[in-house]
Amino acid sequence: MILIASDLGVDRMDSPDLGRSVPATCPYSFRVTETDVSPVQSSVSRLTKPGEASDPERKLSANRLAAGECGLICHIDGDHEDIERLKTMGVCLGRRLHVVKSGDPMIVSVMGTRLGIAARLSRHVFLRPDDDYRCYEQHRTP
Amino acid sequence: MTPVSLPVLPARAKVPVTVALAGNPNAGKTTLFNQLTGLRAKTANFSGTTTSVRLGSFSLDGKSIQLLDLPGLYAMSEHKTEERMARDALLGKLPGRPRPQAAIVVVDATNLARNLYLAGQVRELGVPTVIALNMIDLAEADGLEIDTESLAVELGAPVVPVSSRSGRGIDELKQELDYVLAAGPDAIPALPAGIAACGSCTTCPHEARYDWAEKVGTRAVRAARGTRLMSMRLTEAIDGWLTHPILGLGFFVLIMAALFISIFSVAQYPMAWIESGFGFAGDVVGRILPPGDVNSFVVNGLMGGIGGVLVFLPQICFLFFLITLLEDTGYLARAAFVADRPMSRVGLPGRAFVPMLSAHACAIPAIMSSRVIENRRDRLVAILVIPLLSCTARLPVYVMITALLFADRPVMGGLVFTGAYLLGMVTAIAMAFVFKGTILPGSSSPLVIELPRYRLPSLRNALVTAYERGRAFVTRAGTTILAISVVLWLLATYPKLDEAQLGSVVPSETLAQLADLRAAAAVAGSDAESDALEAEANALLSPIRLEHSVAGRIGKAAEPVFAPLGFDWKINVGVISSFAAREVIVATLAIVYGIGEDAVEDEETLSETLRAQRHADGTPVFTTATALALLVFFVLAMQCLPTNVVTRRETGSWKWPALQFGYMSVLAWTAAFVVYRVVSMLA
Repeated sequence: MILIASDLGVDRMDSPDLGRSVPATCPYSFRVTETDVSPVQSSVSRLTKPGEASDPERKLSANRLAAGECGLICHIDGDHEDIERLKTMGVCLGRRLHVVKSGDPMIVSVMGTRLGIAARLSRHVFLRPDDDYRCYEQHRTP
Repeated sequence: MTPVSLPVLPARAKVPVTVALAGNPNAGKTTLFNQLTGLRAKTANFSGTTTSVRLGSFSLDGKSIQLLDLPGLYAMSEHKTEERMARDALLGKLPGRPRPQAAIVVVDATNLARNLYLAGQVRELGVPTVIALNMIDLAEADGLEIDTESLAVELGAPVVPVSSRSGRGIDELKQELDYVLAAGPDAIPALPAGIAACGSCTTCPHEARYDWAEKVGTRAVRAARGTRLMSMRLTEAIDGWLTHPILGLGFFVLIMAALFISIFSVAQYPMAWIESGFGFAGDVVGRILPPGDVNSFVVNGLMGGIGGVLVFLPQICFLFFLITLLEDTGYLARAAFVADRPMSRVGLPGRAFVPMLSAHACAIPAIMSSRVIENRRDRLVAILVIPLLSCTARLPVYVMITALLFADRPVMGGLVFTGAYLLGMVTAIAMAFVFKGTILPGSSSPLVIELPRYRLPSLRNALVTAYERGRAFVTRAGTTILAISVVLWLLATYPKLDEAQLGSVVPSETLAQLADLRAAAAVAGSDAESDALEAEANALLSPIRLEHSVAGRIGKAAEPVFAPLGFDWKINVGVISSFAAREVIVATLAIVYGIGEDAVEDEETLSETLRAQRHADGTPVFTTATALALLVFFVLAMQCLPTNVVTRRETGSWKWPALQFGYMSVLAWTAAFVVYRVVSMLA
């Protein structure tokens, strides 16, 4: 089971449920299992190889991410009505996006809200790794 | 002492105080609206549009407050009609609507950051604002502590924690609204710098605004104690099943089948009560009023028309009751999610599934419920094809024809019955493709839908919605449907055939039979016997009267049109009369073939009578080819003017019902013609 801190809508998670404190710089988007924070299958595996520094130029479209992967929205293609709709619902530049369920349509979590998005739209949303991102940090150091 | 003449003040016009209610979808705005206004709400459209708003009223410190419930919004951008309308409504730019004196922005306390985006935008418009921090009970249960004071400072507006479901905080909200209204627009706090900076951003307005919302939301939420994890885990676990690619579709089919069967089966009881109630009332009134035109008008025209309107109510109310419950639980969003992929293959969004399914009960509530489809083009396509799906009103026609053709072969009857349903579905899908490729081009709007947390539904909300939708149907569409029913009654009744004319139009054998029956009735030993003989005499006269009426004449005039389908003028009269409601054709055929309206229930008598009908040359009227052509015609034809009236109401133009009527009539005629010719050749 994947739970996402952005669902909780808080900046700090120092609850006993999580077992440890989460840095304040990383208020959103990390993965929590029923027992504890698990190793994360973040988008890093494809955006940055373990041990490498992140390359902000490397980006993946949201529809290519698997469940549990995540990233920072760095680019959104197009400006038609449906893309605007997406942006007004929180899928816009600078927001952290976490994939809850992959496929078409997929479920993502953005700003504490779960959204169902068709691949026709999610392929316009591009993500990059986020250095402040806790799960990313974990993954980078095997 | 010099008298002083005091100036006479003009009587102060009573200007109602208008307050707008804005909020994200799923923020509990409707529940708060219902909590504040009760059942005193009505639905209206924004001037010149089909964007609907609800208007309600409540009393506040002796003042009557008119509450304007804006559509659920995520933002107020220029891209979406509803959002533009809401913005214009708040700025007082809509014709005929004054600028609201204040706005209540409903904010979901369990998802603060995302909801603050809209709150910030409303604040920018300069309307005195009160923030209703809704679902505070759920937030507290989740262990969230929200600092309402700091939030009020960040927003420059009072923040009141409320729970629209339980009613907690409603009095405080009213009190705060009263303060804001009393202070007036001059007392609005200065726009906080954070919000002002968002408005001045020239690059990506969303990014700046969400940055602000996220910061404010994060600062205001003090702690999470972990209980929220439980509810999130529940949502996560349920979603694992309900949005699963295969299991999710299975649950979807089950839940939708339960919805459909409930509408189909439960609503039939109140429908039967309404029908029998009006039938009984018609009998009573018919006995009280002296026989004649007034009697016939009141009983058949007026009461029949009102009954014909009210009979739709149970299905409408029941459908909206169940849809609201499903929406409240959060399942409707999941249903749209799992149905999106299969539906997008036929060019329609996932949300179109619910109206299209409920169309199998009745097209009228289905068209009304098509408002769940956000995109106007997709909604129009759904509305145009919904009447092709076989509704319950077609069932008596299907039963009549299958009984006529396959009385002794139930398997064949069942196959033809199923074929009729399938024909409607396949044609609806095909026509959706055609419309998407021609007059409403473009693929369906790609899915982007919020999946709210699962919650217990509000029974009160569902009841209020069902009541409002039912009332809107009766007051708007109902009056037009009643008028159509009365017109159809007039067409089938006038000109009347008086006794003096009988000799010239009725065959001498029938006249003699009629005279015998009347004489027997006059000397009958009991009232019951007399009534039975009178009814027999009337059954003898009814087809002659109908033939003489305008409807009968139209039926004869339409012979060149329908003769290629194998229909005689009597079937044409049935087709014309069924514009009020499809099932009317069964009663009309019973009358026109002289077995009396009361024999409708007797399937066998009706089938035998229809089977025995002969053309002037001695050939049977209801051959297999004619019967199948009639079946196909009724599957595809727009034989339901009430549906057209509702289409007009939902689309805001007569253009769409005219197109609906036109294309379905052409389609029905062509398909019936092909069936008639092919089956005739094979036979």
